[in-house]
Amino acid sequence: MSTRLCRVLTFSTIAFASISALAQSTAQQTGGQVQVQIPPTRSLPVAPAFAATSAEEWATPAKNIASTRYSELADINLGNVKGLIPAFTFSLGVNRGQEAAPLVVGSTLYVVTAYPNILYALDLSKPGAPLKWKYEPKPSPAAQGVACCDVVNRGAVYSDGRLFFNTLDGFTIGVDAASGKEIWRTKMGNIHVGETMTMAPLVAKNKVIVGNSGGEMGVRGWAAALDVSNGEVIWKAYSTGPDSEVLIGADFKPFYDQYRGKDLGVSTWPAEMWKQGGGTVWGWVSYDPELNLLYHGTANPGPWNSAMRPGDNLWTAGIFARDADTGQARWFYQWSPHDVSDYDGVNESILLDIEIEGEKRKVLVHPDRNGYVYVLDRTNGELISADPFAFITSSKGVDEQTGRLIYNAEKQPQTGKTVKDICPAAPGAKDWQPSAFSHQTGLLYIPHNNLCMDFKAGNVGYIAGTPYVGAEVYMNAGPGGHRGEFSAWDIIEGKEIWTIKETFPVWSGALATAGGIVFYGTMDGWFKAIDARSGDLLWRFKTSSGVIGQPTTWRGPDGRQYISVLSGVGGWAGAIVAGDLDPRDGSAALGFVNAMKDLPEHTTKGGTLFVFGLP
Amino acid sequence: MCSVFHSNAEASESVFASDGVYLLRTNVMKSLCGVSAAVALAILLGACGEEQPPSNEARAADPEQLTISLVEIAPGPAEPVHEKSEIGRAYADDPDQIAVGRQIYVAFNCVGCHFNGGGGIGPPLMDDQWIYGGSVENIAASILQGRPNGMPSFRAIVAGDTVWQLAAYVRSLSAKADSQSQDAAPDP
Repeated sequence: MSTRLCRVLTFSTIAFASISALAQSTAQQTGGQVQVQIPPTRSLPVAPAFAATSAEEWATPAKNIASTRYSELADINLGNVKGLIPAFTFSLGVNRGQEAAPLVVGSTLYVVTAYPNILYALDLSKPGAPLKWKYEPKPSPAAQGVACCDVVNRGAVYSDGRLFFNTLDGFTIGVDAASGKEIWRTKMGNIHVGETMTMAPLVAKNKVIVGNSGGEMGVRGWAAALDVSNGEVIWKAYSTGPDSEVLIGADFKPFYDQYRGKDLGVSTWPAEMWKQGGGTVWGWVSYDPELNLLYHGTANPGPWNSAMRPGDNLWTAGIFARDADTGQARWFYQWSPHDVSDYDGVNESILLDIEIEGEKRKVLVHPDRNGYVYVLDRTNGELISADPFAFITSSKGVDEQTGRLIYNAEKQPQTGKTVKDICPAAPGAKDWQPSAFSHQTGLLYIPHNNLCMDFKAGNVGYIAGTPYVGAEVYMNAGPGGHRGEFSAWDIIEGKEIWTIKETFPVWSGALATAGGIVFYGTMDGWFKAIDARSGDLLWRFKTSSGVIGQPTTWRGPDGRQYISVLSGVGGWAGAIVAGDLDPRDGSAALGFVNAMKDLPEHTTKGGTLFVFGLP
Repeated sequence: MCSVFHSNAEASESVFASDGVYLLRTNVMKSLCGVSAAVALAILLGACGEEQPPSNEARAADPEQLTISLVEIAPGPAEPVHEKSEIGRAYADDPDQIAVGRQIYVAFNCVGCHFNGGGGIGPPLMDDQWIYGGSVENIAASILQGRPNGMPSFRAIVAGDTVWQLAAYVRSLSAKADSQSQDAAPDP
């Protein structure tokens, strides 16, 4: 065609695309109608309106109750992020795995450390952010002996002038944010039976929602709600056992047949094994105030030797939707029925509204240990899609009709025999490390693992307060030899857009911002800024120890945007360093040491808050 | 199927026999399923003092009745007092007792925290770092008494000579690892 026509067509196409993109991005930022005739090319997922929070603050680890971990702040953006420098640092005084999210409300930064769970408040209004107060809960040192996977803590939550967090020895504590004085503490866990607490609470409707840890210790899982003002337990819902204790009643309307019946939390176990059945609630909680539903996962069933516990092992390795006021279950979905590989179901569920084939759906998006990104209808627990985001040999897919995971029989464990190359390994395609959703790109950013394992099941006797596992495990890098990845994922198409391979599992959380950037950290200590659209590395800084914390962003009292993250390697993946483990025994730390023998060459222990800003 | 064993203070009440050996309650026996008959017999023999061959030194060498030190320093010219256990020292060199110790190590879920010596919840046992002393007496005392940063007190379910078998096995873990590269750590 003629050159002139080409130019006109080219110009028109570019104009079309630009206006279309502008229309989309403007629509997302304002949420309203856009006065452009050209329809958007595709409808992106959006966080529900109830997830809106003040951009300046970061009051809860997931940023909001929908758990998007997305900030509207854009002062730090594609144009200037390469100039990011440390603004100040703060030594936590604790050199164990630091998984918490630094919170900022007003002019104060709050952060909780690994055991002994010190809660610090830093005054951001003064140069160098000096210590304003610290609260030391003094958890029992004996708790360190029953915590499976390093003595981590995933953070506090701020609400209405108070901070709430859990201690390793099983207390939920309320602290006055202005003074640092304890308001109340409630004993929720019993270390004598191997129960600890590591999760970050969620506040919903004047209730502090918490759950326990200890699935490797034969602990029976539960979620509970405490009154924000005095710490009284309002309801407590177990993950195994009779309906009356699991809080399954007349309101329970699960989508699939296998969840209907009386006391399935008993009958899907042999004998009384539900009493040591696990299903702990040590991960993330989200909340939809319009449906008044809390969403929380349940961890692996115990023991790891699945041959000892035939049956679907309800209600473990799944997700509950519970009424926030009463704890009564509305629906349940099991990611991994009769889990055989320690695929805890406690990963984050991000609440989004998406359009599928013209129909608006309220969904939750959940990248699971078992290797699939699930999209469920959050009103009723219906499976919408499940797509693999990692290399999988342990299963073949998810049955669309029944919602059941379809296992690969060749990778089922056998007592006394070693089954090799089970992928994902026990920490899953992704463990606790939370992903982030970008409103700008509509993509999910997933920090994750690339690990496989050899697994030998053996008999184990239950002795309260000791591990109840029954497996000897050796983990290895997955295909490709790299052990971690940071990926951008298209939720609607169910596919990866780009990925960054990392030597070690990417055990940190992700952060997405309206500046067009996503942040994450590596286990050898790098903190990185990535172009959210292209996956290009824009900036990085080598902190003093491996980064496994949750990055957050906020505006300081000086009006400038900052990015904060904890540095301090550990967690299950970093146990070889945090626990001074011996690399000659690959089975150590439940088999993770086998895949991490070189970590000590790349990082030592640490415990430091880093805060970055523009010069 | 194993029945459940709860080690709470009330259930672990032990009977103090006249010759100083603790007897285990029957329900402890039930928890030892999966343990070989030989091990079970060894534990029973350890528990029932009457059936052991007469040996005053062995029976008196209860780690709790030894005067041991966890440290190597004492003020003044004297060394810290550290009584040795004949039976402990004998077992530490006896491959048969070490083998029994290995089975107990698995049955009592030591493997759950310490794995095959590399550590996890608990510190490694295969290296030469001993937080609370590395002699066989120190190890036995740590097992029975527990230690401040997470080691539970196993006194209620580990009794008599069982603790020496366990301690012998634990000491052997570091000797075995050391022998791969250097001389075994000498007993202090």
